[in-house]
Amino acid sequence: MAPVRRERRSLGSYLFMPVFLALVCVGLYVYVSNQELDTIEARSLNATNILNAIWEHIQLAAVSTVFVVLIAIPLGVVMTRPFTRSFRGVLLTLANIGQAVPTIGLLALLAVAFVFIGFSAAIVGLVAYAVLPVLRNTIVGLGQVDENILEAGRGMGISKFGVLRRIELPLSVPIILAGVRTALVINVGTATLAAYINAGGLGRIIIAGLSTNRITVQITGALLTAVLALLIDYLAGIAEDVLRPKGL
Amino acid sequence: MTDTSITHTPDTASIGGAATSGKIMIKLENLGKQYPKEPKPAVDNLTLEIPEGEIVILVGPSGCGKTTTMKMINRIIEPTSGRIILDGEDVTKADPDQLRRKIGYVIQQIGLFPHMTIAQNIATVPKLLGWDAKKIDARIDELLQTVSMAPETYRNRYPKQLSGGQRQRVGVARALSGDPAVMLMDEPFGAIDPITRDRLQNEFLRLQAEVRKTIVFVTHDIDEAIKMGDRIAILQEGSRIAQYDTPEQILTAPANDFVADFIGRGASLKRLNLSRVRDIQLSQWPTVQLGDDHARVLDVLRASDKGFALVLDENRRPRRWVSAPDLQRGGDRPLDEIGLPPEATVEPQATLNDALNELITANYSVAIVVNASGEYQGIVDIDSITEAIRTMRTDARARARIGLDADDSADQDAQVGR
Repeated sequence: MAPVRRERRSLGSYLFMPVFLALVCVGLYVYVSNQELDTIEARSLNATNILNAIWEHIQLAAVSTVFVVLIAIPLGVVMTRPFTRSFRGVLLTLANIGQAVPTIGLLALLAVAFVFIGFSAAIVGLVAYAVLPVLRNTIVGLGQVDENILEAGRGMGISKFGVLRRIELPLSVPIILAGVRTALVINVGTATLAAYINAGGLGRIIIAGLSTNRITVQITGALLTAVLALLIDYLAGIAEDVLRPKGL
Repeated sequence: MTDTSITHTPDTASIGGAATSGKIMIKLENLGKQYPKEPKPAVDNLTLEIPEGEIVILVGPSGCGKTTTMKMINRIIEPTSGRIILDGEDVTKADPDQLRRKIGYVIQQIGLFPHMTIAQNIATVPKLLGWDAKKIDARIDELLQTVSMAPETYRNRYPKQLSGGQRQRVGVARALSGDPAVMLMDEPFGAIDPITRDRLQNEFLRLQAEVRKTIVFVTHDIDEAIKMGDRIAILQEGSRIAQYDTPEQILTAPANDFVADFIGRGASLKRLNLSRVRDIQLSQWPTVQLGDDHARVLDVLRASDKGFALVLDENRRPRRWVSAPDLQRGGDRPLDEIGLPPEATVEPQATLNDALNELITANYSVAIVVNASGEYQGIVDIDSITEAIRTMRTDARARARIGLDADDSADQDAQVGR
């Protein structure tokens, strides 16, 4: 289960990460501008190509995370209802398999066995890999809600669905969000692999650097991926702070 | 909720709506709960009638089925046999959500919704009942005042910003919010420190004197049962009734060894919990007004054998104890600057046990009785307590004799539900 931070952060800690990431980007820019770029490097390292790659990467991570949320949260809700007790284990095992199988293997399988490549195929692979943290956090989040609060709610005549919507889910928000944040970061990282099945993203730059043996290109792709992952983690952290119900 | 399932029993149909009319509000008929794979039923064929406007306590050792019994009334636990009749209506098969909105529910852990403000917590049931926003707002303020919490201070706080006692008060306010005729309370004061518990119990009794709800109250603490109950059902394993009677009768004439064991030692001291200060003859001590001059105070003191006079302010609230030596030592100083402050005030609904407890530690071994707005009513001193004990003991002896005679002629079941 991804941990939940209890304390709200100070202004200084809010500022640290964006400043740090900006400095890294400036440093990278200065480093690359001072290199003599050959034509292969120049084809990868230009603003249009990099911005395109970043945009593709964000799309991959965002779309896959949306699907993860749409799949994992309802599934987590269903798996905490009493009527699913008998097959809860099977579903959790499936989710575990999704995370245990290497994404690169899954992508290769999709491409080779099903001739399924491009953006949609990448989304399938990313979703399969990132469902588990959100599912697990949803189950844990709903499970940690105090039984007495639920009993009080039921005892006052709130319907089962009302208790879920107005009590269980709001009280699980911090833990579920922590899972979503983990999924987002996982997706930003694994989305680099999507380039292998022609789905674009920053992986494209890294792979181009690897296949042409251009260190500068590799470093640029890798650093930008790391910066993007940290930035998204940072933004997700702010979202957690904002969306956490008051009074918790 | 007036549908075809209404069954009027003769005793409920014939009596009007007046509170404490002797009307039966809740009737449990042959109620049973058998969990699968358990050898014995948790609740075994229980029949119990709960009169309107009374606090009925279900008390018994752990695992006797008292909580299960209570939770079957609002069907948090579904009975496996028998019927529940609420206000003349068979609710055994009614929609549980609709049923629960008409029954206040307080549990030991309170279960306030931590992500909602106090106002939102209290508004839960009124919203479910579809009240309009204005009425709900007014109700929140009214209830917060009822439980002695200033609405403007507490409306927008969150539960974690309250103390345990305040949370319990909000829990009670929330249970009262839909103005239910019936309240179920499962060890509501169980998780609170003894001092706060005592205060909350007294507050609750005062509240109940106003609202006159029909209350089913579960506890394992016989002292709490004696203090809070109009009637007590002492339950044995399987929720079988060992005795269902008033606290006085249970203490003076336990139906069997189980009840006697459960009450335990110190039954006579416990009986002090049954008499309230308002039921006994208060002693009158000399009183003077805050503005009176010292000469008048001396006159009053001389005319009395008590040696101390109680100084009351313009609202008749006790301010000071003064004696003749205090007056001499004090010179011209006003009456509220000499003598001793009045400690140990009790309200008329306090028990003799409370009063005794207060007075043995207080100045001059007296407890001052004041009403809810703090006005002086009289004094409880050791004489008034011993007199009360003497009366009780005489009564108890008389009742015990009757009880022994009854044991000879009838079996113990005759005492159950008397």
